[in-house]
Amino acid sequence: MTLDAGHCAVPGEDRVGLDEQLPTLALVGSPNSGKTTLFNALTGLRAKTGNYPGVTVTRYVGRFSVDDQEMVLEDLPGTYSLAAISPDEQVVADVLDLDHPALARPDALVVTLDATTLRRSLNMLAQVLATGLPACVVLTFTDELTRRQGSLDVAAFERAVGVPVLTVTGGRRQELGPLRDLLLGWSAWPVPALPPPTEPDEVPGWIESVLTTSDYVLPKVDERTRRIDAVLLHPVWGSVVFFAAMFVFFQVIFTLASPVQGWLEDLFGFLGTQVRVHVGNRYLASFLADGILGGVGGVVTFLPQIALLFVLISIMEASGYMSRAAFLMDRVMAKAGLEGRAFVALLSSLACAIPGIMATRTLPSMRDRIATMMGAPLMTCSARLPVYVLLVGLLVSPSARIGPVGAQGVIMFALYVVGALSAMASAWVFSRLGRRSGPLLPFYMEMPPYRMPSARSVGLAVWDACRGFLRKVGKIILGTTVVLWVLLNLPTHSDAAMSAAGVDVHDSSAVSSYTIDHSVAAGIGRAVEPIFEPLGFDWRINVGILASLSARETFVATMGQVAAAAHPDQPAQGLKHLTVQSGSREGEPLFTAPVLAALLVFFLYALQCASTIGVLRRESGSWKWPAIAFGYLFVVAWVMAFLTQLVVGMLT
Amino acid sequence: MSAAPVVPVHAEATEVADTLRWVIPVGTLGFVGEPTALPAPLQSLYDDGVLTAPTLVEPSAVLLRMAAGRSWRADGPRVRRALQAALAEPREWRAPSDACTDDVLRAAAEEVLAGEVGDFVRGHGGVIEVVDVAADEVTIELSGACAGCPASGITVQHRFETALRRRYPGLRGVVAHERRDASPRGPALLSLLPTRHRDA
Repeated sequence: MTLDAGHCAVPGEDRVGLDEQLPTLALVGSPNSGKTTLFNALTGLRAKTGNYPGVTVTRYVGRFSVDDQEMVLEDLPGTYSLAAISPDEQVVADVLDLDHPALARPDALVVTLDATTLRRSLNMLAQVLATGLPACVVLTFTDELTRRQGSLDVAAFERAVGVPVLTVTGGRRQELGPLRDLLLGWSAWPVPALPPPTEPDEVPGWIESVLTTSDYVLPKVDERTRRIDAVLLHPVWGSVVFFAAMFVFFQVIFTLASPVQGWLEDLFGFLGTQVRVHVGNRYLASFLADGILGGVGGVVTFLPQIALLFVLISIMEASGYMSRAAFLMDRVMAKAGLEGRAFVALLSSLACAIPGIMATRTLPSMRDRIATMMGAPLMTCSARLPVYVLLVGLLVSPSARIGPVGAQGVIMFALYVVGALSAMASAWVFSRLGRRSGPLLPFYMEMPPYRMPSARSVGLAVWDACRGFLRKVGKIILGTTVVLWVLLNLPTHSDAAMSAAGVDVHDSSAVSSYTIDHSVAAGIGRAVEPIFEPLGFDWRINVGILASLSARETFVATMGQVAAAAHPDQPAQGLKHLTVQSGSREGEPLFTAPVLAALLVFFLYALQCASTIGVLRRESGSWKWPAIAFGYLFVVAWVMAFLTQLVVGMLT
Repeated sequence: MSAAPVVPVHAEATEVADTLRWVIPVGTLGFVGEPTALPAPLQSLYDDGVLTAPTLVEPSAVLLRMAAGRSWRADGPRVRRALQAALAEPREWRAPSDACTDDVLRAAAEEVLAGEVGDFVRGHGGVIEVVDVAADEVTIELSGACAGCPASGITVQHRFETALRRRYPGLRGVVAHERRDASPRGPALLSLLPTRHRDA
């Protein structure tokens, strides 16, 4: 299971070309075998990412040099087997396939094997050696093997498998030297005269014989892991701890990130003022201050929350807790008629729906796949975070408390819970709609021992996520924001026309308000008003919602532009003071509690993400399912928002 | 699971390119040396000219040689299946006429001394030699730095005997002598541990 927001905004990125001139080595190994740690240690993070042709499995390629000889290292996706089930495994199988037309084969392979799960890993080694490519083995986690009282005669193991074997623990520098020397001499690696068998009935015998010869002593169950699991996997205590952990999670996101967000807001506000003061051209100043700094800057201020979300997610994943959470939820999923694999897909959607939808490829039944795909966009992805933070911030003040805890965090937690429950309910409904009878395949999931997450791996995950977020801001959100700025500022009005309409042309705030009110965007927003009127949304919110169809964060950018135009001095405060311009509520604040609650619920359900629709189209093979998903989620979003508006309106 | 469980084997390279050392479970065949008769599945490969002599049985391995013009990559899978079928019927293997079980123990002891344990002893300037094998008991002679070394008892017991028992589970005991005429370097020290090991 990989939670990686880096994949979110970059489907269809150009493929990384392998340099034909340099020797290319590829890392092969099962998930959690320390493959990526090794890759990072060898290449020093100078990795280029891209996609494999036809699939959105990210491809990592880096370079390293030994004694002035430069070499290319490719980090293949983690796989347990070359018999492809998932797209990740298909990529590995394709890369190692001599006859595959589209991919250049690596010159040699580096196989990482987790010494604590050697029996299972040898199956893949047998398949890798059968390709006949030069290969070497890197044994990882030998320190843990020793700690858990297991052992292995590495020299005998090397003789038995017939290829060079080295141990490298956690990418330690003193162990990398010998590895680099070994990799340099890849062309001289011994290739076994007879590769191991790959027939299913012969492989277990080979594995047994190799392990007996190398005096492999199976590591004992990690005592620490066993004790922790006794609590964390307990049906009652486990669930209690899980929900408590999630609760703390959202409290932390609010309390730690908001001061930093405040500094960023001040910074962008200051820059906006500077631009207005120093840029002479009125249109350029407005474009830079309102469009870029007010819009895009408004989205960038949510970087602290995104970063913190991924700090927490990667700690949960690296420590081994994420697998336990999925295991706990498997029981809940079973009640909904879905299997644990579906939960993995939903869990991945917490970062972004796109890897979540792609993770459905592990589901063998097409019905279950569709059902899970229909539910995945409901999980609260990181793109909803800025919108939620903005709206929740308007709804309740940071000092509001429910008992001892901050009210903002409680609402946030509730939004995540409702999103998750809705996702499961939706998956359940869609799986009922056309369930074919068939046996549920056993759900296999590895429970890795608890490990201390390394600061490096957490840092990398956060860096990846932030880079993905900023890239999305730079492409989709910037693009949409620029279009919006144009739409919000056209047509232009002469001073005479504005004076005639009673606007003081010397009051820049009044001028921009007038311009926006009579802009093309306002026209569009008013045109769709009949649809959103019952929810209490005015044309400005409508424009934000329409813009957010490209990416949810754009809503924040749009509101930022509107607020920056109305209150240029304090755009952050501007939203609070927006008022309704016409109709029965004229003059009242726009963002009342019922409207905010309705907006939150609308964003919880609506499918406002062009990338997700694209992936749904590709994964389901037609436009039918994305159309159904968009349609049903829009209807649900509207109905739920309407009900919320009514209920909150009655309560307040 | 079918009637006969597959005998776990794997092939290791030897110094000779066309010969592979097929590691088999300890005690499968019960003899060492060149077999005089083989079970039909394996024998047929010799008749077809895939394999060629010599064929050598070790305490936990069988050395098979590919005939000229054949390759392990192409014909190996066939050989593996034939060998596994042959190992499933150990009675069909005919030991050399002069063979006895002590040969297996002797070969196992020599293997241990040629391998990791021997390396350890040689690394410390010691010498261990097999002087006699009789009735599942091995007599070894310690010389060089081993003679008079107080740790030799530990080496014999923990390293040599453990490694040997793994290759020959029927081992009754190891008797260790120190060579009397050996002149140990440095002052002679008395061993704190008895150098004679025998199962009770």
